[in-house]
Amino acid sequence: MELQIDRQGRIAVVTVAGRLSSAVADAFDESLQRALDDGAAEVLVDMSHLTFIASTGLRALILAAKRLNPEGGRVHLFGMDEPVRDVFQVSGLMRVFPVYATRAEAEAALG
Amino acid sequence: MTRPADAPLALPFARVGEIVGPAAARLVTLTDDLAAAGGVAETECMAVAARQLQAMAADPAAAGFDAEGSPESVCSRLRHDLRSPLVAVKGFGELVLEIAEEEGDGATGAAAHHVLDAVSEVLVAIERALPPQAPAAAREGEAPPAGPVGRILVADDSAQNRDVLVQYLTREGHQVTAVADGLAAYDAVTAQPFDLVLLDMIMPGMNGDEVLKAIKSSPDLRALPVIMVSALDESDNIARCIEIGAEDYLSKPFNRVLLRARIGACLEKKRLRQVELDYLAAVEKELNVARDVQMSILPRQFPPHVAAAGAGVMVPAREVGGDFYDFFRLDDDRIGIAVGDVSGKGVPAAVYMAMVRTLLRATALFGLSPSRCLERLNEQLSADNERGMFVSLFYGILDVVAGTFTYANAGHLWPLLIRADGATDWVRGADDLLLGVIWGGTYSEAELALASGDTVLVYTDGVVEAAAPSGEEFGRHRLAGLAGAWAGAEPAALLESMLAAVRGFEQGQPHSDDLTGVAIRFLGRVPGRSGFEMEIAADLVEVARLVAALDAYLHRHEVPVAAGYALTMAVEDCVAAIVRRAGGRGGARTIAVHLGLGAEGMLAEIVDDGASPEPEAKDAADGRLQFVMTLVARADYDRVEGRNRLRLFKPLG
Repeated sequence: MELQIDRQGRIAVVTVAGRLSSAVADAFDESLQRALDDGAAEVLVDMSHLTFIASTGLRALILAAKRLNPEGGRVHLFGMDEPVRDVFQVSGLMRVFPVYATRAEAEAALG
Repeated sequence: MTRPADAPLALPFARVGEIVGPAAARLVTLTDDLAAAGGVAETECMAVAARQLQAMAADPAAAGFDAEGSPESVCSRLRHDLRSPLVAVKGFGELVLEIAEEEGDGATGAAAHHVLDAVSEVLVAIERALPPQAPAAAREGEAPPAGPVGRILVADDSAQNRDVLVQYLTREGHQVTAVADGLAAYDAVTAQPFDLVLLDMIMPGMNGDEVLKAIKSSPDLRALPVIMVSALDESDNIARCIEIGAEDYLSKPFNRVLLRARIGACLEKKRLRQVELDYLAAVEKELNVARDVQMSILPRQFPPHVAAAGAGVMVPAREVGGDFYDFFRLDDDRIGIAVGDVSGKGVPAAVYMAMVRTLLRATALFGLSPSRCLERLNEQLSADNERGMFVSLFYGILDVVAGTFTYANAGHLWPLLIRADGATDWVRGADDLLLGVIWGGTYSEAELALASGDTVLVYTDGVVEAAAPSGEEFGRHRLAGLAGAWAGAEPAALLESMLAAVRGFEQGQPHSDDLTGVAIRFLGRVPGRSGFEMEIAADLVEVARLVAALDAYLHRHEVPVAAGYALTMAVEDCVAAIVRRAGGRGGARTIAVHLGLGAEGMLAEIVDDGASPEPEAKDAADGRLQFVMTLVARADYDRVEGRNRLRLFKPLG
């Protein structure tokens, strides 16, 4: 897994690439939580180069979404490829996360 | 002190007498002074050793020195023999000094200091008298704070060396055992546990390096650290011993600081290794607990049923995942099956899974529809879910009278429907959310019409995510492509085929997730229990009356004679068996027989009030009553409301 988190104002832009397996999910979780500790109000996750996501990776995203929820913030996802999209589709998580095709669409929605 | 490389090496006995002799004499005087001042037993030993040195320096041959061999080896042994008495003098001297300082005995302390200075002078004198050879011993500094303590074996053939080491080490707080030769050392380490061995290089019988080799080639002893003890000029041997596996070495006479430091380092290293091993063992144990929890909650066998067959299989990954499956009988006509996959791994996943399974059973057995059942579970799992655990869960109910499979799916992979003719299709869902994520979600429900021989295969992502060595995933489409060929198979055999396909694909790659599958096969609709109904006393005369009434009923409903006759005979056989046992304890008093008649066939139900279990009824269900089983197609046995119930199904045509 390659992970990069950039702060753009109130938005934390997370780029996660490769395999988000159980082995690295804890590190992913911690990085997300740290971004929220630093005061990010929205999270934007670039999944264009993500090839696999394990259930523990989903858990990290769900925890971040739950933490943002009381203040009205959300975890936005974009750029999902077919295998990752399948996971979100089947697990019903498309209803929980706002999902966009491209970064431009996601940023437009975030305003 | 160098000599020309081409000059012959003269035996330096005279030089030794000249140079070492005076230093040795001074040492004798000073040890005598110390003995007079301190008067403890150790000081006597020191005085004796000093005299041995003096004698050896004055006339080695007279002191028992063997001058045979090459000049190099003679010099080497002479250095060794001159140094040997110093081991005792120096060792005991340091001990006496330490005790004196502790006790504030200035006079003894000063005398001990003089002795130790004299020892240093003798060591220098020996080096001046003999050709140069070895590196200098490390300088002594202040004693470091006490290190870890342990069980130490000392093996040395010199009684003086042994005594010094035992005294030293005991004082440091170690438990010390001393032996005098190599064989005794090996016997000791095999007989009792030690933390460290100090092994003298040269010993009678079995040398130190041989003992070391024996220890390092034994699987049980390999981890035992060994420090070699040698004279300074045995550097080749030391190097070899380090190669064989010695942890470290010490040269004689002992430098107390080095001795303490090396022993401390060895014991600390061993302790850390043990901490690591203990930790790994604890982790392994925890994983086993998780695996036990996981395996123990799986149902052992599919509930026997006249209209359905099923099987489940789970191959846990090394690091336990959170898969589980379950099947249970909801009532006579309905069987529930569930497959779930909890997020995460290890003990948390196993515990969460056990909780989900318990909640599922508690909820499902109320007879709730699949969607209502998942909604209730989601509410319970979403409340107080700080850790953010969740579970994907597929829950379906097979209704054997209606011939339907009703299901709801909370974020689980779509199961496969394998028709009797080999056609396959996904058991599609509405992609409802995983359980435990958000409170208050709703779940949709769908229904499939099943025909006789249709199978539903539910599996977890361990199956579709199994990877080939190339990294390619097995994938659900590959599974669907293969499944058609498994259409005719019994559920257990079907699951075996699935596992074999996955294993073949993995080509020995270890799988990182649990592999789980459940197959349920509809054997064909059975009629409801309407139509014929009769209750008799457990009496042979009554059996005849029952058979006559049953015959008449079947005839009236124009059941084909062969089928009707077979069923009547099977019922008669089973009822007669119950009656034969009725005289005994717990025997039945009344027997009720119901018969349902449908387009597919006949379902006879024999219920008696005998004690549980009615072995022969059970035998029939198990297929062991071969006669009955040749007459009817399928049978099952169950204990219902305190009664034994045997069901026999006979197809028509």
